[in-house]
Amino acid sequence: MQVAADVDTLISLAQAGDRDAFEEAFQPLYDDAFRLAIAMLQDRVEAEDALQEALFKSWRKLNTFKVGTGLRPWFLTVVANQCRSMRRTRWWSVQRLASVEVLGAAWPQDPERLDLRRALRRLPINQRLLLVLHYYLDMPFEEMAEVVGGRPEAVKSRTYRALRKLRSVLVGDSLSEVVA
Amino acid sequence: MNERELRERFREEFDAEQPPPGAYQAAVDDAVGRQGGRLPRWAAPAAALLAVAMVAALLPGQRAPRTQPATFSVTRAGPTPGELTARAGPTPTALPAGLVGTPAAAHRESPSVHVAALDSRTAMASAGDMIERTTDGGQHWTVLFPGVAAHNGTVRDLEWVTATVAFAASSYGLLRLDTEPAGWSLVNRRDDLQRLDFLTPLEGYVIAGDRVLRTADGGGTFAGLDVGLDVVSWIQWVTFNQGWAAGPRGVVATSDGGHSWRRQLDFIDPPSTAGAPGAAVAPAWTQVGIRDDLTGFAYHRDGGTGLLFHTRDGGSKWTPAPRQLEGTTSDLVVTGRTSAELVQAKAPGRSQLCGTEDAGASWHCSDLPLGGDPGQLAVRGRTQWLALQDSGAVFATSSDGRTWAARRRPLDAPSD
Repeated sequence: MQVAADVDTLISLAQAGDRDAFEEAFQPLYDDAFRLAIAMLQDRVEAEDALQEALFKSWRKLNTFKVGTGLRPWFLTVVANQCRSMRRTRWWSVQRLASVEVLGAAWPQDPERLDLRRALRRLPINQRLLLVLHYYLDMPFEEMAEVVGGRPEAVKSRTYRALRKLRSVLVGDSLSEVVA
Repeated sequence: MNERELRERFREEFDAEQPPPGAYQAAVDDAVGRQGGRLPRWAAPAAALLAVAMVAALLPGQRAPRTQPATFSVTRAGPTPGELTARAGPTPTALPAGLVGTPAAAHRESPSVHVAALDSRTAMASAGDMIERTTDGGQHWTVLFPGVAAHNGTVRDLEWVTATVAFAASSYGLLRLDTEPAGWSLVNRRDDLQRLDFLTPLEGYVIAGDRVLRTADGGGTFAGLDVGLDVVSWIQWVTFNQGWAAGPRGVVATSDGGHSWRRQLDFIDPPSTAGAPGAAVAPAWTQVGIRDDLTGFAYHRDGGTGLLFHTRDGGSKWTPAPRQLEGTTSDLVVTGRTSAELVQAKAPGRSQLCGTEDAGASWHCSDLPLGGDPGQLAVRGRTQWLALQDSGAVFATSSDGRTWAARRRPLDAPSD
């Protein structure tokens, strides 16, 4: 309770234009947001860009945040939307462009690590988001619903659907240890 | 892999991913300090000033020179919205102070014509190295810069920065033009300036040769800016942080004031030299015409072919128009989110005005009742300002695109 009250105070100050309060309120969320961005975008540089833009949008739209509600899902929503926007729209879409392989350039080359990342890469970005939020950031479905939209039950169903897809991808990659 | 194992796998995979040291602090600094965030009180008038500068920045400059001097006369075609008279012409042969011995004047550069409009009644036009201004829709003109004796130089780009301050890139260097009181000054003798994009009378960017330079003192001094393109032909800023640069090989953008640039378009074909042996082929080059932070055009010309691209998301995705533009054209003038106009050569000495309302999917063209090759087009509201080149300079203005009031004058000597 004390922490929540402190965050609320910081947010109120930040909404009044207090830069230091803004910095203090969002700092605890930054690492998780960064990992979420990496998992969604699979590129460190893009993740840094996404976080920078998400912080900018958060500062600019902080007045829309309702004090007393969860700052974490609110900020992760901004980050997720930014990542989706970058993934949906970025990159060169013109036929005359050089053929460029974007994804994977910043990935580690450890083959054991590549399996999960490669499997994630094959999922739609919204399914990636669900899996990362639930299985990595340990976010309950109620909170996830705030980030991705919809009822918690529906989010739960979508998450399990994403999990099945992930497993099928891993199976397709001949990972025999994948079991239901 | 059950759910517990999946969680462990995620942690193994991503726990090691840490943001770089200082990234959070830098991101907060950017978020709080960036234009478009919470703005101080002076921001509104500054934004208005910037808006004027940005509107002027949408006016492209013409690069292809070709002309011979000719006699001065007045011509018009069709019903005339206003009778155009010859400009008042002071100092027709005087050597302006400060330009004595300018190296660029030692060799003749083919003169070109330009026009830059501030609004429907106020515009600047240049022919060769002389710059004039009208404040009544083109009926009367006064000389802002009379040129240099012998008129061996030329203006390469004109830009309004405020309602009273303009700049001209010329073969003599960078000229600052003031209208209240009227006057000019040569603020920099650098003679390779090609294009201008000033945000304020002090801060701006120029294309010098094929590189981008930045100034913070009104063009007195410049510092290089690497945008990641070998050759740069165009630069445009929509805010102090957000800008685009373009060259024959691609389009890049920045959102942090030019510290970092991200490639948005890449043209894999090298500048074309196609065409008949010995034929003059314009080098490939690319311009951007950004309407706002989301919508805009990129126009890539290579030889006699023009490719148009449109973006609705700030350049992350560019959609090519289904039709190519053939032949010589003026630069593209963006008039709306999905609309743009240009002047296209229809035959030697004959041009047509073409416009699109659907991001280049379709074009509607109408013959211009004026002789001349495409020079430069500027549009302010429903008013179009046009500079053509034939045996001299042709300046014209129209409120409907069908009837034009036009004035001709020679390129190489001031006259009345």
